[in-house]
Amino acid sequence: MAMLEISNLGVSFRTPRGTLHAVKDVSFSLEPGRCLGIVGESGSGKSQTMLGMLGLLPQNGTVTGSALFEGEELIGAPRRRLDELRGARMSLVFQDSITGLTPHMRIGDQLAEVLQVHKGFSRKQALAESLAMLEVLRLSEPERRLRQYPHELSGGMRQRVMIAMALLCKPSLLIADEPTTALDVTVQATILSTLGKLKDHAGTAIILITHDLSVVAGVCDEVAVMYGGRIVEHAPVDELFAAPAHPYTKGLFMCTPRIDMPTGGMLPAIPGVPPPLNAMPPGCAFSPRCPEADARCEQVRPEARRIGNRLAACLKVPA
Amino acid sequence: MGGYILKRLLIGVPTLFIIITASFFLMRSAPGGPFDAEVDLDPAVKANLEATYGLDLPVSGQYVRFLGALSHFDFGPSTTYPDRSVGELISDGLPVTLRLGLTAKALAAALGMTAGIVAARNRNGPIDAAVMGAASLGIALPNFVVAPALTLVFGVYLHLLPVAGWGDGSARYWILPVIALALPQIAAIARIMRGAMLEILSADYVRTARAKGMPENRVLWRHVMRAAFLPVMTYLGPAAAAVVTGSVIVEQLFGLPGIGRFFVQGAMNRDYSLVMGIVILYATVLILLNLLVDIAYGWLDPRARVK
Amino acid sequence: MSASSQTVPFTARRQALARFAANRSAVVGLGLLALIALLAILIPILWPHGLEEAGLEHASQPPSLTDFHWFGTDANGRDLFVRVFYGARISLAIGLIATAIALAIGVVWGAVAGWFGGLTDLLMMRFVDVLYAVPLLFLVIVLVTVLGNNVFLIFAAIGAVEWLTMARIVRGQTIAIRNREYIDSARAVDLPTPRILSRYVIPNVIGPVIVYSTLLIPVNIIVESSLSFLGLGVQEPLTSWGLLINQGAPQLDSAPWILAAPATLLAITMLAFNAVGDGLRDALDPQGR
Repeated sequence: MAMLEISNLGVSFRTPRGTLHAVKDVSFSLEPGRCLGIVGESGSGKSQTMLGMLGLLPQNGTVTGSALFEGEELIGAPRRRLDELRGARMSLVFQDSITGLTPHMRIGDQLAEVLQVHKGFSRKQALAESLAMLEVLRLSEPERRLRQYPHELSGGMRQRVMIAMALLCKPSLLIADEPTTALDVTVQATILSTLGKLKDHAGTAIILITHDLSVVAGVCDEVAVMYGGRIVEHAPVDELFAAPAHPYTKGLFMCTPRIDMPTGGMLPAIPGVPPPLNAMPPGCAFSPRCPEADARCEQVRPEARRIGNRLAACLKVPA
Repeated sequence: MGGYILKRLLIGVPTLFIIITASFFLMRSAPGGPFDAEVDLDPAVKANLEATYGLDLPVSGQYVRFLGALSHFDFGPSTTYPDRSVGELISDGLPVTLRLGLTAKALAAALGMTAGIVAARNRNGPIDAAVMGAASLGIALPNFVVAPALTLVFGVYLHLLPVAGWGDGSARYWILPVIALALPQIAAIARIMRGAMLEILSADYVRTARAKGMPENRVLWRHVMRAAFLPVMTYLGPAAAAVVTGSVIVEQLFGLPGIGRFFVQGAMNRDYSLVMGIVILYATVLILLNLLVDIAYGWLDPRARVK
Repeated sequence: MSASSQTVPFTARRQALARFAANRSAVVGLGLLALIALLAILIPILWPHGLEEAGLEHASQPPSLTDFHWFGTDANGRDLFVRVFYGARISLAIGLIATAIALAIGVVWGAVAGWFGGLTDLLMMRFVDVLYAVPLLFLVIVLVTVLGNNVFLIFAAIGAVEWLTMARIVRGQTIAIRNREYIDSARAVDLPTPRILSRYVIPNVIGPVIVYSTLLIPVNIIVESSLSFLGLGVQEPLTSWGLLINQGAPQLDSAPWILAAPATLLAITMLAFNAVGDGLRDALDPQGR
């Protein structure tokens, strides 16, 4: 049985201008020790899928469908149960570490409370464990960091504190939302290699949300590409990089600089912008921007079809 | 920290000095003097009276004399209450004003913050609507409207509480004044607290706390509350002035022997030393309160802490 | 989903206007204010009873529709309906004029301090700090006793003490935009400073200023009412809501309408201004609530 089994997950928001469907009909599963990358532009629903699954949507958000984590249904689970799982069995690292830490609490207390609440550690034990975790992540002067406040740390340090926080209880599932976006390349490399070790040695399953295909290539085993709130293509990483099937995925690759290609002039960009959530076309969400689209694409929504090892939702992809 | 407080207190001294000087000359530039109201006063008697109070000197001379007396905490004699010194009047009135003001402030802070938290936690629900509706009304009704209404209901109709006066100073006498003084502030604090709570509840770090499985109560008390106090603190500082000014009206309304009433009478009767004494007192209190607010700010928000 | 909602590109100003228009309590508040202002202009002209038309034979009459004493009469038999709207003229005028004075002083003070920075800023803001240490109602009381009981001087006195927060807001905004590119380019072409301030800086700080002004008007109305209530503000034969409430309070037991009429109108005006101010704030700054 898969560690995580998501089927037909949907996320919607009530707004003054009506209900917006941010995520529609998302399904995938994940085995222990595997890393799934979710890529897509901002607004494609990648983060909302994760927040919906973990019960962290803002008050006007609703989640539907099913998410089985180690056989247990998360959707509709009581807050008390979710609190027991979150931070202990499944952890989340947010993209924005600048505002992601409580400004008026010391780093040490923010780390320690995870172990105090989940494991019943004493504060002293919890601080010692936190210190060890900061050392693993190679944060300089870890004892001093524990006594400092978030604003006294650099962005890279804060991001590593966030990761330490997520790893303290040795979760079986780690969800990392753009964990390296704001960081310089060397810190990025450290963090990615830490994630790789976790996966290989501790058997942790990882979901990595990013818009950076090079990060995906480095760490992930499989990739799901999201557009307009749906997964448009889901494939093993090598297959996807070898031959993207969906026109949107192809477009993404065209916009990514590659070292093995001649750089003749400017990088192309996919023309146009994603449709707003309240004005989705009846057919394929990508059809207005798609070079291959025809009249049928605009009217008929493509279902995801299995082609070999991959899934693609496009009328134009041959079976 | 000690150095910072000392520095702030030292800055307070020139501030106070400027306020004293400005108010002194402002008061003297007002047309009329303390003995002009008594029309039939014999000029000789008037001159005699003015000499007694040092009012025959040129204004600069009066100023020097005033500062000299002030340097050993002598505020001079009152012309409104001829046989009493300003110092005595203040020490009589201060306990009344302080008891009124501090009780009202404590009540306002406790009830206002509770109401704000309750409203925020039930956001957009019927409880929220009820609390915020009441708060809007509380802000819209000034205490000189609320006070007569309270008096009418609890004093005249129900005979539960005395209509006015201080009596023996027991609680029965100051319940209504405290409520009248506190109501607009309860309303203001409730609105501020609710707004702050809603803003912070949607902050990224609150989501982080929830994501790491902190129970809701722990999220509220450890991650939300301290930050939500900040705007309330910012309000409570200057609102100390509102307690002061509000107490002028409430003391007048209920006929309480506090400082506010002396101030209004003093200003109307050109009782220079009485007005000056009270201005100095309030300015000092306000400077100290602002310092307290800044210290509390640093405690609540480490980013605002002085190095 | 209508076609217009996706095709017409909204400008920031139109979006703000749309958000304000969608805020029901703000729109109702604005309507109420317009109605009160209109009645304040018309009623004293059109009403069959005059402001000073007294008659002790019908003193302290309860409200009645038959003889045009809709809000009843006061202790001197004067019609309260006309007096309340006459008082509205003074109270609203004080609210608006005092706020305009506070606005003028505060914006100029804050913009100059923020723009020049350094010692100028330090001295100007120290002065604001000093004034902050004075209870404002006290300052107004002293000013009013100094200046005498002239209505216009009361306007000025209130405005002259209520500009401090305005100056702080404008200073903060000015410092924030002082180093933006468009200001650099204005300086690069050697525009004179007053022109840069009036054409580029002040228009860009005006949003928070408008919001604060809307919320300052009711504060100033209350300050005037408090003064008049204490007998230090508007004097007979003029009248204002504060003075009317003052006259009504002693008779609350026997003739509650004398207090109720001005108090109700005052409360409605407060609620309306606060609703409009909150609506403006949400419309101009949808993120910060």
